[in-house]
Amino acid sequence: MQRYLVKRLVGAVPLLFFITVISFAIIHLAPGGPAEIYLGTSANPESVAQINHALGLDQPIYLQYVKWMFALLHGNFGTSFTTGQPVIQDILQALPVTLYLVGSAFILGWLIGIAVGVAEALKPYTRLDYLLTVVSFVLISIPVFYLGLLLILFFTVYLGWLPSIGMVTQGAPFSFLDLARHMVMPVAALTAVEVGFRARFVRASMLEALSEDFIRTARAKGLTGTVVVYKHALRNALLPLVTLFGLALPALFGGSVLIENVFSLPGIGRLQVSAVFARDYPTVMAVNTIAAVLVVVGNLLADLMYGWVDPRIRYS
Amino acid sequence: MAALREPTPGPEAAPRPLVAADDAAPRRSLFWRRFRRDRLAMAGLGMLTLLYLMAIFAPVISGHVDPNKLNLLDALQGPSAAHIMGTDEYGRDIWARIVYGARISLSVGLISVSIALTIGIAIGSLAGYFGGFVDALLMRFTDAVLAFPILFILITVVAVVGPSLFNIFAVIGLTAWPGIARLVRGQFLSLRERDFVESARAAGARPWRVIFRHILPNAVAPVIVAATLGVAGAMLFEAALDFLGVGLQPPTATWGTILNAGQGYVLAGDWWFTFFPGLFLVLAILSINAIGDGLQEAFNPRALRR
Repeated sequence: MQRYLVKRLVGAVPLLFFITVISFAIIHLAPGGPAEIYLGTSANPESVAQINHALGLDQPIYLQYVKWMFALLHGNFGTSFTTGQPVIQDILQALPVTLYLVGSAFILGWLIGIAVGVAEALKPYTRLDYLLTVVSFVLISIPVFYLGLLLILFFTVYLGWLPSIGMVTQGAPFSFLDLARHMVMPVAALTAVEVGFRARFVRASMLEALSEDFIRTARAKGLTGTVVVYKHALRNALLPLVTLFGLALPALFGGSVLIENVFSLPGIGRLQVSAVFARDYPTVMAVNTIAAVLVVVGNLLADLMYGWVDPRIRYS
Repeated sequence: MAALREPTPGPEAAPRPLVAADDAAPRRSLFWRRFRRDRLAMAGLGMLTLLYLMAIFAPVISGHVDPNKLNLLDALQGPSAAHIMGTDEYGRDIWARIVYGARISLSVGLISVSIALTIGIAIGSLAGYFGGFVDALLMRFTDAVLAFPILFILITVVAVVGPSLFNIFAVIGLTAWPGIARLVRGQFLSLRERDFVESARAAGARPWRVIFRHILPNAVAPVIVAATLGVAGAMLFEAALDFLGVGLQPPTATWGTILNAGQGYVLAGDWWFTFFPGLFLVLAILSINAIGDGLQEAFNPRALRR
């Protein structure tokens, strides 16, 4: 087990190296650096050169990368070009927002998805099944940012019930209720899409499990329906779905970027978009690296979980 | 109609021992019959055809209204007889902008997926056919791309290389192939040990011939399904980039850029500005997903709906 963990963590190193090299190359090889953005297109070449020199952008790119990597290995993401603050400060402020969004949508998406999928699989090809199938089908086809806008139109503009901007009301004393009122729509939008995907997988997997011989055996030996469904079928149906845990993460982070921009939430997705516009290289690199690390860690957790739910799996 | 398409083992029975396609004809006719029975998929196909017709005949459909014609006196009007889907902040007709926007929104999927298919099939075939070190290397690379939160890299790349139509098509295509590569590789792994491949190899066929002539044709079904769903994915990414403001820039009309402009008017209550362009995006993606689902069931009726 420990050997497996070490092996996986070591295996992730080239992956992260690859991702940082690619991001770094793309960002730095392109024309139009931060100096041009700050000074405008009519800036004189000397001031541009001056800024580039001050930011270290006039050095060869491999040297810049080595320096960046060296600093990163010492836990230093560099200084933001826009705020002049250490990038890590911005990241640490933004990351909890994104993790909160992604985490809630992930957990709620699975719980509701499992419930819907099981409900469908227990009464396949009935009216309920068709209705839920169509609903999940529509949910996976709605762009998450459009769903967010629709929620704002209905709950904020039409009904006037919920706030649509930020995490908390500006200037008001913090209260949990206030936070919840701000977060319910973003989380709901992100969760809805997840539910659609999960329900479809759970339904298929559950139908397959229910048609297995051991289910017939369990019923034949007189076990009650509930025990058969939840103890025998559901457990086996969920097994293959655990592998999806990790695969779903990149999409969820992408969804979070969009939702953060719809609801003006200060997460890393919003940080990324504003940093990209300002050519704030250290921030862009930091966000890309962190996102990659999160996905790698998520995949690792998913694999470990697979071993936990399926004792037949042995790590080696 | 279906009866006329029943398999006829006439010329197909000519001795072509090395090609394992002798049962392709009956499979195809069966496939169409199954697909046509799928009402959801057929509805999707009809809807998508309408959308493409709308894009092709945009001038006629929009009533010859210029999608970029400014008319500040008519800004932010709700739906009316003159503007059935209202006007935007510059008084441009939103229906006309949606109709013309369909041209870009509907091409991005096809072009990007063609790029993704080319790369994905190439990498998947090489990895699956040669196995060993080649496979390990290529799949490591594929997993690396697959593991990355694609939207982050898309935002970075598009912002850096510039939001031109070509760049956006290319960048989405260049990041969308890993799923297809893995799928193709899986097909190759299971097909390459089969007898007909073995016999082709024994007859002296070169690797590229075995790959293109013997293995790939048998791996077509799942690839088509993945490509279809990929079209919806590419469309979604393009709209997302436009929506975030890093994609195509105004005044270019795409469903994403209209949504981007409309977002600023949501709280003012100008619902038509975002509601209609998004609705068309949903309709298009819904249709493609329905078609993809139908294809999957028609190709492989035993496979349960995902």
